[in-house]
Parts: sequence; C-alpha cells; structure tokens
Amino acid sequence: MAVEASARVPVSSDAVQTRTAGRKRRFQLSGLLTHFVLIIGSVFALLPFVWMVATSLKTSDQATNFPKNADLGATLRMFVPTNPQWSNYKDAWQSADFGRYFFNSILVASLCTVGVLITSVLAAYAFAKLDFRGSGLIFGLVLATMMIPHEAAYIPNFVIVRNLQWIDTYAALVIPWIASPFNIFLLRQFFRALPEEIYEAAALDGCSRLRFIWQFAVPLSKPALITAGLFSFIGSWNSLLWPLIVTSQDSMRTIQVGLSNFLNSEQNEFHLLMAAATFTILPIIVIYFFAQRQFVEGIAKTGVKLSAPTLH
Amino acid sequence: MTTGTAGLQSEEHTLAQLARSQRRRRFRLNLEGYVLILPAVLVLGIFHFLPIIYAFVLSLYRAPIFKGLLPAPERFTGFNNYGRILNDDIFWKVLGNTIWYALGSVVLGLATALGLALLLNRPIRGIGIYRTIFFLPYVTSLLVAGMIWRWLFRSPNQNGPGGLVNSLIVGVGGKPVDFLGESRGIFQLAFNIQPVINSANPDDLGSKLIGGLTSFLGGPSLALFTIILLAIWSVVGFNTVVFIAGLQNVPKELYDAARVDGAQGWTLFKNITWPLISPTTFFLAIVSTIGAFQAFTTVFTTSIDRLGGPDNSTNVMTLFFYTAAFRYTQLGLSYASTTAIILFFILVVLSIFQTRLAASRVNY
Repeated sequence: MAVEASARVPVSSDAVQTRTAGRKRRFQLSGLLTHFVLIIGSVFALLPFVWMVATSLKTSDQATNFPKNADLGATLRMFVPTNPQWSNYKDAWQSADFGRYFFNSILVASLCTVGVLITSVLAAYAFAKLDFRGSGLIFGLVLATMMIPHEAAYIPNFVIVRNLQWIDTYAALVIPWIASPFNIFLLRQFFRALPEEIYEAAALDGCSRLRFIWQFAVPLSKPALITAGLFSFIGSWNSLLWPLIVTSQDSMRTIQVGLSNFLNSEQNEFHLLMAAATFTILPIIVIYFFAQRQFVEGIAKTGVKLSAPTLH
Repeated sequence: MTTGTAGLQSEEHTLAQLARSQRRRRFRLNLEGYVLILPAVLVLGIFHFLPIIYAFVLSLYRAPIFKGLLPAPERFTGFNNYGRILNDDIFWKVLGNTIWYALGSVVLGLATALGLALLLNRPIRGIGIYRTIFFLPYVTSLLVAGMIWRWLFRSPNQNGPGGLVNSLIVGVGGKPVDFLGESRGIFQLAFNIQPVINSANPDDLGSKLIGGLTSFLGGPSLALFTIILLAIWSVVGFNTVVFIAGLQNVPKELYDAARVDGAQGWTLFKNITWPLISPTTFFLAIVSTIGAFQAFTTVFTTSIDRLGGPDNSTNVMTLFFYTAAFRYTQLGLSYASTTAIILFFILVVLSIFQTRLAASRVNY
C-alpha cells in the first residue's frame, strides 16, 4: 500500500523509506498484540477441556484436593495429573450402560442424518425444478416452520408420540427430525443453478427423475450435503431435551440422556464424571478435526443460518 | 372441398390431442412434485407446524394428566390457564431471568465475537489454528460443557475452595465466591442494593409489582450470570465465523480510499466496518436471541439443583415448562402448553420487531 501511495503522491524517496519503516514496525507491534489477545482467548476456550481431561485422570481425592491457603502454584500444578488413573475411563464406562447409550446415539444420529438428507434432496429438487401447482405457497409454509421454536413444540409432540405409542422407540427419536426446512432452502439454491437442458437430454436417454437426482443433482451439491450432514449428525448426537422426554427405559437412552443421569447419580465423583464427559465428546471432536473445513466454511459460505437453533 | 374439411378436422384433432397431452404432462409434473415433497412436508407438518396449533388447543384445558389426544370435554376451561400464569409469581421471575439471559448472552456474546473476528480478519500467522480453537466449544455438547462449568465454578466447602475458579481466586489473595449458589442479582451485589419488600402487605398487587421490578433491576443472579458465561463460551466461535464472513464482504477499496483521506483505527471501524456489517450483526442478533429464549440444557445441567435454583434465580422459560410437564405433575401438560404458547408469541413478536428494526436500520 505504501508503494501505491508513493506512486501517486510525489514525495522524496527518503521520506517514503522512513514512512514505510515506521509503518512496518507499527504493523509488527500490532501483530504481536493481536497474537497476545488471541492466545489469551484460546486459553479461555481450551481451559475447560484441559481441566476436564486433567480431572478425568485423577483419583477421587486428588480431584478435589485444592490448596486450602493462597497457593497459586499448587493450584496450577493440579492441571498436571501425577500418576494418571486411566482406569477411571473403564470405571466410568462400566458404572452405567454407556455401551448401549453409544450404540443408541450412533444409530439415531446416523438415521437422522441419512433421513434428513434424503427428504431434503427430494423436496429441494421439486421446489427448485418442478413448477407444480401450489409450489410457491407450500415452499413459503416450509420456510415458515423455520421460525417455529422447537422447544415450544415439544409438549404437543410428546402427546402425539405417546398416542402413536412411540415412547421408548427409535421412531420417536428419529422420525420427528428427518426433515429440515433450512436444508431444503439451502439445497434448493444449489439445484436452481442446474440447467434444465441436462435433465431434458438425460430424459431423452430414458433417465428417470429419481435417477437423475441421484446421478447429477446430488454429486453437484456435494459440499452443501456434507455440511448439512455433519451438522445434522452433531445436532442429533448433542441433543438432550427431546430424548429425555420420549425415553424412560434405560436401554433406550441416548448418550446425552445417559450422561445426564450419570451426573445425577455421581454428583461429586468428579473424576468419573469428567471421564464420562470426555468419552462422550470424543467422537464429535474427532469428526470435527477431520472435517473442520466443511464446518467453518459451511457456516461462512453456504448460509450461516445453518443451525444455531437445531444444534443447541 | 372435402379434403379441406378433412384437413381442418384433423387439425382440430391434433390440437385436442396436443391439449390433452399437455394436460397429461401438467398432471404428471404436479404429481411428481407432490410425491417428491411428501416426506419432508409430512414430517414438518406433523411434528413442527401442527404442534403449535395443538399446543394452543391443549392450553385451553385444565388437565395435568390425560390419555388419548385431548382431555375430557368437561376439562375445557378457555383462557383460564393464561390467567393462572399471569398470577404465577414464579412465571414472572422466570420471564425476567430469560430476558437477562438473552440480553447478557447476546450483547456480551456478540461483542466478544466481533472483537475476535476483527482480530482474525487480518493477515496473521496461525489463523487456522485460532479458528479451530475458538470453534471447538460450539461442537461440544452443552451437557458436557455444563458439567465442566459446574465443576469449574464449584462453591467453597469445609475442605477448601471447592472448584478451580475459587482456588485461583484464593490463590491471588481473594475470597472464594458461591458462584452457583448465589441468588442475588449481580448489580444488587455490586452496588449493595437492598431489595424493596413491603412486609406489611406482601400480597398486594402494587408491592408485588415494585418488588418484582426491583428484583429484575438487580440484574441476573450471580448463579445465572455464571451460566450466561457458559452460553457465551459455547457459541462465541459460531458468531465469530459468521462475523469474519461478514467482514470479508466489506470492499477493501473503501478502507484504502478512507486511509488516503487520513482516516484510521476507530474512525474506519465506526464509519465503514460497523455500518457495512450491520446485516450480519442483525442476523446474528435475531438467531442468538431466539436461541437464548429457548435455552434449556445450560440451565438444566449447571444450576445447582438442576431445576433452576437457587430460589428459581436461574430458572428459564423452557426449563419452566419442562418441569411443569414432567416433574410437578399437578401443573401438567396443559399448563406447560400454555407456557409454550406464550414463549412462541414472545419469539414471533421479537422476530417481527427485529426484522422491522433491521429493515429501517440495516445498510445493505
């Protein structure tokens, strides 16, 4: 930028040089300050995780053994567990039916994800490409459901599910969540960009509508589908209130409900609670590290609205 | 002559055929469309659209527990439940808490996120690492986050400071704080205000109003504020990523032009950045407010008794109707539905208000 300015404004080369040097120094200093602030921010973001893992590796006594007097050094040393108790993970895993909860959550989250992608692709394609009667009105109504707070619908949904005799079934955990107005909206944008001629050409070759969607529309919207799928999986894995309402048997609990119950029964066994917390978020953390580009760019690019409400 | 008529006839014939085939095509197209949208529309209709109407219907009954789809007809009480709720002191307290929760988490949360986004929206090293770190809490389940929070902010006990935060406070020479057990408001604590209670006539409407208002103005309880910090921690990464996207849409030439005119720092932010990212800010404000009004897991996990305590000072709308429906069954499903409908209307009004405000203020 200094070069541009010097090209436009006739000043002596000496003056340009000193000014550039001054700006550079200032820039470096502000860069250092930026890093300083960002590092402090990172410490705040990460500290709870570090504390969780540190606690999960202690004995029950070590976990709550804070220094009684003002001793900052001793407090900070508590971040490093001496003699790590790996058996805590086994103990926590065995003190409730976590294997079953994991199985339930993996099943439910996978079914929700596949279901939501299928219904969204079909509906989005129809709204984008088929000018059927009433499509505008119905699309408007679908978008309107985006404004409805999920939580306000939980009580009547509970009554509906109870009448369908779905309490303590996978149907109750999956079926209400296999449609997403936002995904329909998002994918419709993608499909609208598809030229109609491609379909006409494919139809001449005897390609059916469904096969066309599967072979052309889906691959073209892959980035959006991956982002939508990731958010759906994580949203389902992390959801607590709905599974809490529609399950009562231990064998039907999802991981979050199981962990919530574990918190009630082990109120003060922090080493076990933190071990269970760690293995509960581990799958999501792994997915996040492998797919973080899709997450972050998905939010930034494909439409931010994505799922502030559905995730939490 | 005859050939002419025959030609005309056949032309009519083909026209009719064409119209028929076009009608058939139209029919096929409609059918195809309906079949493709059917699964999504069925699920959205039954589990997202219908429940709002259904909740309203249920709110007109007084039936804590019932079988089937509707309570017995003699249970119908019209708008009785709404009157009950408006006279329910706990409801007003819960509403006040929810408003503080939303205000606190949205205003502080967005300010923090914007600050981080401004820092991250410049050419620095390791930007990807920072982004990864700040976004990590957002993918973490709120239940786990709340469990860690409980443990971090644990209150002091006879064995010492209780939790890490208090241990750090003691370590630098401070006095431990009963974070999650403190039901007094943060402003009340900070300025040492005594609440106004008319002990002579506590049930009088006037003294109730004044008492409620002063307790609201005392701010969120320290316990609720601690939970607000959790809400901010968990969502700040999401808001930051959205803000960065907004910042990158501001044309760089504007800054260059302004710099040539000698503007820098705060002036650039006030006159270029802030007005031009206003669509992003308003979008995030709407989404976060709606999210905050629906908060459940943070309070359900972190509040000291897991029921919105101490003294209902952390109780919020969603937890209130969850406990009404599934814990205090004397209130039950119809009372919970009434709360849900009130929440729904609050959110609709908020969305309309914010959209109006955005339309008049946002610079596109």
